[in-house]
Amino acid sequence: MRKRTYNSRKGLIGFLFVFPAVLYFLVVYTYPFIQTFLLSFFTEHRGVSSFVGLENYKEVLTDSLFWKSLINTAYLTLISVPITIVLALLVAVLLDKSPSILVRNTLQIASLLPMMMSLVAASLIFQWIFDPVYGILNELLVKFGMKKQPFFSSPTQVIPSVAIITIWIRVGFSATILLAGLQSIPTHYYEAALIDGASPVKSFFKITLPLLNSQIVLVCISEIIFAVKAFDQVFITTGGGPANSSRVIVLHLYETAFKWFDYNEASTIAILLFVLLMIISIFQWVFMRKKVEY
Amino acid sequence: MKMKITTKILIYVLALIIICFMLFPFLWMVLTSFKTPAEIQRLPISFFPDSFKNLSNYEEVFNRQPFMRFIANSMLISSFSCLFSILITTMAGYGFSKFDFRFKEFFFFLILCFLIVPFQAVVVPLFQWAVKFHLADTYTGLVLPLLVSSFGVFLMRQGMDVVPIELIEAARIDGSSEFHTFYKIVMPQVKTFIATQAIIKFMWSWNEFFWPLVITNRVDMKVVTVGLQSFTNMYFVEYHLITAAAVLSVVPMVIMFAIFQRGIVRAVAMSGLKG
Repeated sequence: MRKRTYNSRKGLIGFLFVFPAVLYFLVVYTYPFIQTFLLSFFTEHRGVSSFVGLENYKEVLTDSLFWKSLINTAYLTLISVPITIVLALLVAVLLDKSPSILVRNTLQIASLLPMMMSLVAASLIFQWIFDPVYGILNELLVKFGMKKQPFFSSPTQVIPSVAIITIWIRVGFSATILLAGLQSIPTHYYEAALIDGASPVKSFFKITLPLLNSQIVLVCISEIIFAVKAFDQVFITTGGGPANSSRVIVLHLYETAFKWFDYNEASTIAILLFVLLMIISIFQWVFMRKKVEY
Repeated sequence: MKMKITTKILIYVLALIIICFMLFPFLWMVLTSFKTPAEIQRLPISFFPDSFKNLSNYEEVFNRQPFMRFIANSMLISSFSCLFSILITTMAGYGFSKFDFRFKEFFFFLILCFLIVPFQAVVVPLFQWAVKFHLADTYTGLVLPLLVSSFGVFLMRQGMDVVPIELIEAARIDGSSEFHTFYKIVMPQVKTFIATQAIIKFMWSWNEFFWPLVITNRVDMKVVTVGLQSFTNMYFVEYHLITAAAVLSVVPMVIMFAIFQRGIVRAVAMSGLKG
């Protein structure tokens, strides 16, 4: 009997410790999230809102602009994520293997420094570097005998240009996580491979990559989520243009809510975005469970 | 293990290329910020500015916009949300890790959900509230959704799991009050986790753009990211001013990076725990 009262007292103390955080999330996140969900089933006309069932979803899912944004988002993700991962892997291996501490430290600082910059500032700088007329990149292209490129003002080049900003900002983050994984691989695996006569390239693909599996999955998912949520890069550089060729999903949501003030439709898009991110996260969960053992 | 000379050269060359790619935008930003409008439109492009003593762009930035105010706003928001988040998440991490009570895992799950739920899925109702309660263009409104991060709660629970329960029990037997135990015995044990979170939270808040863009309209309430964006609203993009403003926006973070470099590397590596 005494033990139980002690436990409930202890339980109460524990609850009091988590209470501020729980309360905060209930009020500032859970409640608005439920409201968003509800908003997506209503429509507002002259200040009177009425229940319309799945009408908003129908409308959004048949809206060509929504699909355009979704495709642009997918395109951005498909370009930026693989390049970020490969570059990050390269940086991680270089950091791990570099025989010179000076090179190692410089590379580490250089790869992490972009993280200190806001996406807003980075986008502005890249827009300047990529300027069609006075940009230094075009100057270089001309020097090497190529033509000047429009980059952000071309419908076909705008997404790859946005991808470069994303890659630049993200490589350091992923490289650091991958490096932590690399350093946790016991060296005797490599020694054994060396004795068996395996080439460094072979041991990279047969030892390093499989043992890095969980970090690679983690980094992939973080990068996919980051790319799917892309907003700042596009909002700053093009605002979705030219001709909606860089309109991404979050930008579409932003404009629906805060430019056209259609809160119900914006909420519908938000819920769809949430579902998309949830599916991606479930993938992560499934893949992370596959542990590689030797 | 000895390395072949060709391998060594290959490593150095690749490292050098990547270093250039990473640092060039910084370099170009700084160089451009010293150039006059005439210089930046000169072809062929001159790599270095004519004079590094040309600070007119920086002066112009301060004349055009209250940029110091933007920086001060960002400092205020980031520091406050950083401190607040540390206090609340450390407490929560302790409660979740070292106590048992009803619905504990449910509460934890409720908070963790918001690692996945995008901010955009709560932004409309939050904005409507802010308007209703006159929180638009106020610090309260700005800071509200940034106060506690669900990642922080997750990280602090991980940190608290490492603290030995014996230590806490011993303090209790010695008659230390629960809050005193938490503050004096437990918190020092999770110093590295607290530092990690402080760094990440400060960086995130400083670079946050979406919410401040939505919630602020008045010039004197803008944060640095939104302030930067206001230089693009003009018909003609003035890169000599934008780069100067960008330099100003990055300087505090670069100083922070210089001081906490090791901590930042560890913080990023630890944020990989988020699995």
